[in-house]
Order: sequence, then C-alpha cells, then structure tokens
Amino acid sequence: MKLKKKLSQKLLFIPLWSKILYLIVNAIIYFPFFITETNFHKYILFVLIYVLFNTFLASIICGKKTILIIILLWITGLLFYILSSVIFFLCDFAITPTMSLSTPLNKILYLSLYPIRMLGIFLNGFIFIQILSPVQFLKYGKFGLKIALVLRSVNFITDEFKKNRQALIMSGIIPDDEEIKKNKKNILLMLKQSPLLITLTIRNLFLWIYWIIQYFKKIEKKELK
Amino acid sequence: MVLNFSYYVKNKTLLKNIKIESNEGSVLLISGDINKNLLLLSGILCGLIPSTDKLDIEHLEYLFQDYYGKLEIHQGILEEYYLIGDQPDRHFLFSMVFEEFMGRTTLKKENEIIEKLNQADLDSSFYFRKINTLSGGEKTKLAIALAMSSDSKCFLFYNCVPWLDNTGRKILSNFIKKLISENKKTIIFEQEYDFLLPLVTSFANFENNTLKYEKQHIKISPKLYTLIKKYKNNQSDFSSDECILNFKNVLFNNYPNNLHKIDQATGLTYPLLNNISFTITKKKHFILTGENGSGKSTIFNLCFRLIKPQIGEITLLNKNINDFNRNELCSYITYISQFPQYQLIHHNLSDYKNLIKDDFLQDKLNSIIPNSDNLSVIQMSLFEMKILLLLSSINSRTKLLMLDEPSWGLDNKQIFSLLNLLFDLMKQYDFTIFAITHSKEFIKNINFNTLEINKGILINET
Repeated sequence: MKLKKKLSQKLLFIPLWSKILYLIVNAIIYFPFFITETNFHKYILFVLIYVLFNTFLASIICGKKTILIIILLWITGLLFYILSSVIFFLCDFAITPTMSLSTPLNKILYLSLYPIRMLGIFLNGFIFIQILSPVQFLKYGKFGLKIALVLRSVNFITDEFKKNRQALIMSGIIPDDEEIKKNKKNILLMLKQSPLLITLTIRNLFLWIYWIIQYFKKIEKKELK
Repeated sequence: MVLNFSYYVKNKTLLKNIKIESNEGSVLLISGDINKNLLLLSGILCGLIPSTDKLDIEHLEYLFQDYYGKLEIHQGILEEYYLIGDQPDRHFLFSMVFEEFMGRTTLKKENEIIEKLNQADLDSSFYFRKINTLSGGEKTKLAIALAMSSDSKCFLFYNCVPWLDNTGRKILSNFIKKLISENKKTIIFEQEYDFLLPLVTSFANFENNTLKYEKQHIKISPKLYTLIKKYKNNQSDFSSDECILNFKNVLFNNYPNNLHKIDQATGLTYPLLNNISFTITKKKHFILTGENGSGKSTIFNLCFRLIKPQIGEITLLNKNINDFNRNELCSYITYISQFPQYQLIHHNLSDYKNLIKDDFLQDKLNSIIPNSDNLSVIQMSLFEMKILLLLSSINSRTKLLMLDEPSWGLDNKQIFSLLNLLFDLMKQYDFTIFAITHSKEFIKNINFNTLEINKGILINET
C-alpha cells in the first residue's frame, strides 16, 4: 500500500516533458502506421503485453476499483463491437486503410486488436491524467494558466457530479449502486435521471466559473509583475 | 486611512458610500445582513469585482451582471485584500494540497509546506491529500495555512468561522494576533465572533447596502431568544419513547482513498467511527457536533446507506435500514444539505410552487420568499434556497429531519426565520430533528440534546 502510494506521488513530480513524451510514444504505439502484414503478429504480441503492463500500472496509480469499472465498461462495449465486427468480417469490408490483409486469420486478428488498443488508450489516458500536475504548467505564462484552469474545471465538474449524485441519492431521486445491483429496473431509472444530473452539474458550474476565472487572473497579474 | 466608495449596476446603487476605516494593525469587524450586496462588498475589497472582461455566455448574462458594475471611489485607494472565504472550494485553484502551496505561494519545499500545514492543525499526511477528500473544516484550515504563507498586507475573512472547530478557532485567533503584530490590516465579516472580540478595534454593521460604524457590537437578536423560549415552553410535554433512529455499536473503517486517520499525538491509526451507539426518540431532537474530520458527516452518510458499517446495526423506526428500499428510506428521513443547490432539481421558483400542493407549505413559501415566479434557483440567496428545499421536501411521512449545518451562511435574522419555520413545521408534521452544526451560538440557544464526537468516538451525550 505504502509502495503504491509512494509510486503515484513520485510520478507527479517527474518533468512535464517526460509526461508529454509518454503520451506521444503511446499515440505511436496505438496508431501504428508503420506495421505491415509481415511484422503484424509481433506487433499484436507487443500490444498485448504492453496493455497488460499498463493495466497493472493503472491499478496501482488509479486504484483497482476505477480500473475494474473501466474494464466492465470496456466489456460492455466489446459485446457490441463483436456484433459489428462479425458483419465487417462476413461482408469483407476493408478494415484498415494502411495495409492489406490477405488471410481471414489476419483479418480476425486485426479486428480483435481494435478493442485491445482502445482499452490501452483509456488506461494510458487515465494514467496520464493521474500523474499530471497543473502546477507544472504555471511556468509557461498565460498559456500554462489556461491549461491549469481547464484542468481545475474538469476536476471541479467531476467533484460536483459526485456531490450532486450523492445529494440526489439522499433525496431518493436516483437509486444507489446496491439498488442497481439488486433490481435491474433501477438501471433504467438511473439512465432516465442522468440528464438531470448533468444539468445540475452544469448549473453549479455557472455559480463557480466567475470566481475561479478572477482568481486565475490574479495569479496572472502576480506572475506578470 | 479611509476608503470611501459606491458601486452601481445599471444605474442602481448596490453599495452606497461604503466607508472602510482601516489602519496598519487594525481589525475591523463587520456583521449584520448576509446578502448579495455583502458578497459584492467583499469581492470589491479583494479585487475580484468588478471585472473588466465580460463573460460572454448567451442567455446567462443576468447571472453575472452584478459583477460588471461601475465602482466609484470617492476617497482613498483600494488595496487588494487576501480573501479567506466561506466557500473554500471556490478559492482553490488546484486539486491537491501541495499544488495549492506550490502554485500560489513562494513555498516549494515539502518540509516548508508541512510546517505551514502543522501550524494550521493539519498533519504531514495532508501534503499529498486530494482537496476533494477534505472536510469543510479541513479545507478552511488549509485556506488559513495558505494565507499564513502569503506576503499580502491586508487580509479579509468572510464567514469562515462556522467551518472551524475549537482548535481551528484558536489558530484563526492566533493568526489575526500575528497580523496585528506585523501591522497588517484585517477585516472580518462574521456572525459568530465572540472569541475574536478582544482583537477587534472597530465594529460596523452592514444593513441592506450601507455600512454603519458602531461603538460596540450588537449580539444575537433578542427576538431569537423570545422565539426559542416560546418553543421550549410548548415542547415540554411532547417527547415520547418511540424510537426513531438507533445506532448500535457501529464501527466504520473506510477512509477516503484508503488512508487511515492518524492521531497526531500518538502516531496511531484509528477507525473513522468506533463503537458508536445512540438513540433518537420521537421529539427528542439532537445536535451532532465535534472537531473537523471527526466523523459527523459519516454518521449522516451511514443513515442514508451511502456507506455501510463493518460492525454494528442501524435501525430506523425499529427496522434495520437495509430492509428499507430507497423511496421508503427517503420518505421517512428528509435531508437538507448544507449546500441546497445540490438537491434543488427544478430551476425556477414557479416549478416549486406547482410542486408544493399542501396549503400550509404554500403559505409559508409565499410569506418567506417574495412572489416572483421567474426567480431562478441560481439567483437565490443561500437562505432562500434552504427554505425552498425544506418546504419542498417535508411531507406527512417525514419522521426524521436531518439538517447539515442549518445556520451556516445565514445572518441572525435569517436564522430567526429558519427556526421559526422549523418550529411551525414541527408542530404541523410531527417530526424529529437531527442536525450537524459547529455553531456554538446555535447549540447554546436551541438547547437540543447534544451528541459530541471526537476521533470517531462518541465522547459526550447531553
């Protein structure tokens, strides 16, 4: 536990350029324009190992619960994807513009690679957000302050969403997790009330946005002095 | 030094000839009405209002129009005060504690930041804490720690006392003493200020849109005493043995982000709630009080099954709370949050008027909130929001009314109105109150039974 905590804390302080580099490297790995049918199998093996490693890393940094939710959502999406990919395969649609796949096995392998890459992108995105500290942007002047403001706004929206959800559960307007598990009808109720949750979050954002902009302007003034 | 100014929005005078008399080492206490104009006054003094750049959001101009008015300074120079406010979330710019220090102060080293945190009663574990996992009191202590690290010459405290426990109040008082010794200027906007009185050099009362200086401070409204006395006389024969809520040996050990609470003195970890037992019977109203982060909100969350105890049992009306479905549970327990905007799901006053069918509640709503149906929820004051939420949530099935910091953010007149309404509702709907509060004045005056919690243990029941 202590080791995990220390790792995520240490990662917060690594230089910003290395975090951006991490993002670029991942973009190259998950969007491989360089692969051909000959090195394709090696690439699949590499991506599989890389995603497994990232799942482990993300469970340390973001917490097992968060990763479990991501994987559950991913599995739900995967079911829909399998249906559409069967149609793609049977109708012999071109599934990649960058290379031609000659054998059915290669086509199946390529199709199965999509969701794995998607999971990898999500996990790496989560890791990146967790290890990103807005303070590191402040030395880049006005631009850095704007990025810090955007990051704070995202953070605020997430917090407000959680607070609103909790208050609505306490008011009996939306079901809690346990009730959703017990009775599947509650999933529909939750989906029905989701727009309300989003509207309330946006409404509360309006109450806050003026003040936070003024505060960032104050920091800007101080930095320009 | 005297600063004299007025503030206008669309030819309407929102602040009229405001005179701020503050010298080096002086402490000005401003009490009185808490309204939008008071917020504008503090915003102007802190350089947050008026803003020169307009927020161009179509159809929402009316929300921000008060912030883009015309400031006319008649005398003196406006110095920017450092603000320690009532809504800490509004002032934090980052998501983690260490980021706030690194981004806003000159402190960059871990040990320097931890030293400042310790001065504000926050231990070293707070350095890496996410701000959203802190309690309201801990956030205010963090705001004070940040103020301690600031090089500003003027400080403004805006209704931050209600968040603070005894230790927090001592820290605030010592910090103001330090500001006086360093010849810095201090302005305090507070309703609860008894412990600060020895430090205050001048008093002013804010009423409607003007500031009047007084020779001495005005204490709690005498009307409030009369009301409470009347209520006590009426209440004496009502209480019964019918069990409303019961906690039996409850232990809860889940701390946010799997961190365990550490006792600063011994270094030992302890559960968030340990062996909590109490019973609330019909008409035996309770106030839950305790230090910041002691587990008060956790008790409320347990009542609503947002979290589950590892050991022990919670019963409502002699039935385990796990046996209720959510609708039943929420019809027996009505919850009024400290921040009503999270629960007010409709956007206009007229929506609520249509929703409230009971004539008694309708009459109360019309008498307290002025009859302007187009009034949007986000334009309402905190007091109006609390009243609206209370009147739209109470129903004939309500057995327990749970109030989170009911007096927080309200002035004496508003507390009087709220209590008056609560007492009337209690007569009409026959429910029991269970409230969390830090306000010593509120506890002293209302004279409900008190549950005091400290480090997860119930230490006092009176």
